[in-house]
Amino acid sequence: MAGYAIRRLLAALPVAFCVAILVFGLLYLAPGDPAAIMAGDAASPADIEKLQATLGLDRPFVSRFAAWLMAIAHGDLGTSLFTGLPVATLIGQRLVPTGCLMLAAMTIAVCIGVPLGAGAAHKPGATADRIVMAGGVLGFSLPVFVVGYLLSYVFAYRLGWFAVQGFVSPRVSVPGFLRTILLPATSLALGQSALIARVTRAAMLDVLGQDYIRTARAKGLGELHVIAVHGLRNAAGPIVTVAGSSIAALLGGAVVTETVFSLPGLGRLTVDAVLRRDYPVIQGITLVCALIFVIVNLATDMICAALDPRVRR
Amino acid sequence: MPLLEVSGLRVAFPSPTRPLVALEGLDLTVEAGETVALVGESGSGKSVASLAIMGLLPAGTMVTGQVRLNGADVLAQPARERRARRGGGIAMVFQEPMTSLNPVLPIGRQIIEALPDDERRSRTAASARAVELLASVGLTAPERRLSEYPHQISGGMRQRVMIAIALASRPALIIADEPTTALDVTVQAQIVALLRQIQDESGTALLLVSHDLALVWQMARRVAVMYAGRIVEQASVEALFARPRHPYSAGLVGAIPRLGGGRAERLVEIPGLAPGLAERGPGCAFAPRCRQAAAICASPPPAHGIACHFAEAAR
Amino acid sequence: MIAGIRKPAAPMLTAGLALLILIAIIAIAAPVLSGGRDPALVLPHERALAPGLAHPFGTDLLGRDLLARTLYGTRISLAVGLGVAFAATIAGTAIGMIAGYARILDGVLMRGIDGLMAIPPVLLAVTLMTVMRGSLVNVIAAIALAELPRVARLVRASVQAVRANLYVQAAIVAGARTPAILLRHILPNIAAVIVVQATFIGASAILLEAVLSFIGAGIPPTTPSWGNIMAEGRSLWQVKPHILVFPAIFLSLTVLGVNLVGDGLRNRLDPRGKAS
Repeated sequence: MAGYAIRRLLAALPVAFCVAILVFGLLYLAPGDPAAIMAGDAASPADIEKLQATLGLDRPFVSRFAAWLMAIAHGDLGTSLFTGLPVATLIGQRLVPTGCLMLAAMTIAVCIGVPLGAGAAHKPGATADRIVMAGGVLGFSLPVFVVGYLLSYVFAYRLGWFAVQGFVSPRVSVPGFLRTILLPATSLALGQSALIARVTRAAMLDVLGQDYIRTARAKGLGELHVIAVHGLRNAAGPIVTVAGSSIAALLGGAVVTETVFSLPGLGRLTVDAVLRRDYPVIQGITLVCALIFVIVNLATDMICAALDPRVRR
Repeated sequence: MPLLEVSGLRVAFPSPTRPLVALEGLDLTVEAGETVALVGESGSGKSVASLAIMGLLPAGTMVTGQVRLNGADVLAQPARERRARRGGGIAMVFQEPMTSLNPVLPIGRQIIEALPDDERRSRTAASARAVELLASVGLTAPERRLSEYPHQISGGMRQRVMIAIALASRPALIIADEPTTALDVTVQAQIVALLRQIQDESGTALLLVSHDLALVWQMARRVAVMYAGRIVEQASVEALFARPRHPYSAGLVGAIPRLGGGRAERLVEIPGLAPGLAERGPGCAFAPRCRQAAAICASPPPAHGIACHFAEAAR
Repeated sequence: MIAGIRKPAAPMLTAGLALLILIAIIAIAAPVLSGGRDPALVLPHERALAPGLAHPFGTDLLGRDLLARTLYGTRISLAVGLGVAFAATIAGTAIGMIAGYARILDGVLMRGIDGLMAIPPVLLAVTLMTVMRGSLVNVIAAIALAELPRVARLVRASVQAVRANLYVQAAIVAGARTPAILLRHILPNIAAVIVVQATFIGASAILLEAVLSFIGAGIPPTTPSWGNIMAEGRSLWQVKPHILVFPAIFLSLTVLGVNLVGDGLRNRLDPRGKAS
């Protein structure tokens, strides 16, 4: 297991490096002069030149990239064009709400998706199965912000059960935390839970047809035990993998959800930065999120290896 | 009282047109400690019969008839009691050891799961019993096997583990569905010896389901020959091989190649193919392939004894 | 297989196609269906009106007619959906074929694709749009870049699987040249899988464009898109929900339609679900 962990870690390093190059290089990918676009139509040529120098567009790619990497290694993600504050500081302030939102959304998505998918697989073609499949397509198609506004209108604005906006840290008050996080987390989770339900169903259908399930039943084990221990354990691989990669969609969806529910997280920071074309902030957030994804993927691989010993060879 | 008494077992699978009958009124008994073989080709219904006895057919299958274990009708019991029965009375060994073991659970855990509740209470006691079982099926270094996974051991060893799992619940009857078909010939011999040894030591009855007549000859005392969902002949092994009375069993026995025969001898075969589930009618299913077929064969054959209108009266 | 059973009718596929055809008709006939109203015409005295006779969907914060804006918005969404599906499929297929066939380049290309996939698509598109002018073409390009890794991975896996088949080996031995092998032997076999994936990418692209326009990084509001219509409805949504409601409905139905078609196609062409 340790050997496998080290191998996966080593394999993740080149990917992280590619992430860095790509995020850095996006600036150069755009046609036209990025500095001119960012400075705006009312900027003077002098302003544009100053911006170019700030962004380092006047220096060669490699030296600029190397300098950027060195800065990151020291925790320096650049400086916000608008506020002048270090990007790292800005991101640090916003990590908690977004982190909580991610964890809550992931938990809800798995807790809804896996049982629904497993239940549907138990009796394929039955009414329950059809409902889950149809609901799945619907859940997957509804845009995050539509769900968010819908939930907010019904449960926050009209019924008053949850907060319309704002964030309360769990360290301050747990009920307050739940009041502010449950609706945004659910609206984020709905789409992903549909995907997870579908993958669970497919994996369980495959597994439940295997011979070892018949052996388990022949031993006289209860049906729930058979499905949960023998079935899910084997189906877990693809499920965990999909849940892990759904983090990318969740991070993207957070941008919208935090806007709808006014959560002071990374998503809102992104939207504010977009308004002001504050490139260093956007670049910093993108880099951080992409690296989080790489780490989550690594963790997913570890979990899969822990569950299925055949993977470790 | 016989250990296992199957009467009128009928199994049909639902289908869009009409139910497909896989088993037509099976009657079979197994005495305590006996080895009975259920012989037939693919599609004869022998595997369906063994699964029906165990209650392992998929939900929605229509099963009628009685399966009595020590007098109690197993099929009529609610599922929970039947589960206990599966664990405590009849155990099954399946054909494919490769896929019949759960690949992600350690072997020890899979054995301990099959132990009766009272033997599972203490972890150490359960593990000790699992080691005992592994040793009794001839596995070396049984303590190490507990934490190993199925993919780490060979096919023959996996089948031994399957047998150990079957023995874990101290069954009175073991149903072995083609236990050696997926194994190499040398390993086959070992498994056969193992099963014989287990029977000698613990007096367990064995229902051997197979298409391999040589295996049946080695292991069984009585044989029931199945064709197209019916038992067409039941006899002791010696009687069947010496004087088969149903045309199908005669064809089967006649088709066994003999050593020492003339080199130019052509192997005897039964012409034609067995009918599929949807093609069976009310008359004798073997009639299209039978040399003795006549007009009377369009009506159902006798339900008891030899399933043939032309068979001699039982002596 | 029991004789006499036909392939079951596919209600989901038909429903999806019906929705899409409806959307396409709306896109083409938008000027007629909106009764000749101008989506860009600002009417300062008729701001934020609720739906009524003169303006069946109401007006937005600048007094522009929402019926016209919403109907014209179908054009943007369809253009984005088709454009991204097309671009991402072509680019992704090319990369995937090279990676799957030329083992030397496989390692490098796949690390790059993995890196690209690690960046959440919204953030990738946002980053690009910050340094590009907001326009339909730029939005399509940005989103296509975010979606192409999925195609590349799928194509690579399929190419490797097909390539291992004996008939391809036979073609190689017979001296067929690489481009011919790729085009004539491998491509037809993976075409179905690619088409299914392209459909889902279309749906994803439509959603992404809406998100981008919603946060102000997509199509500028002079050209109506459902995302930017909803963006303007953000501030007063609790009291003037009509600005949000109609584009939301259209967006949901369009994406639903595309997803239904994709699902239906997958059930027909690739029942074991390899393309996901």
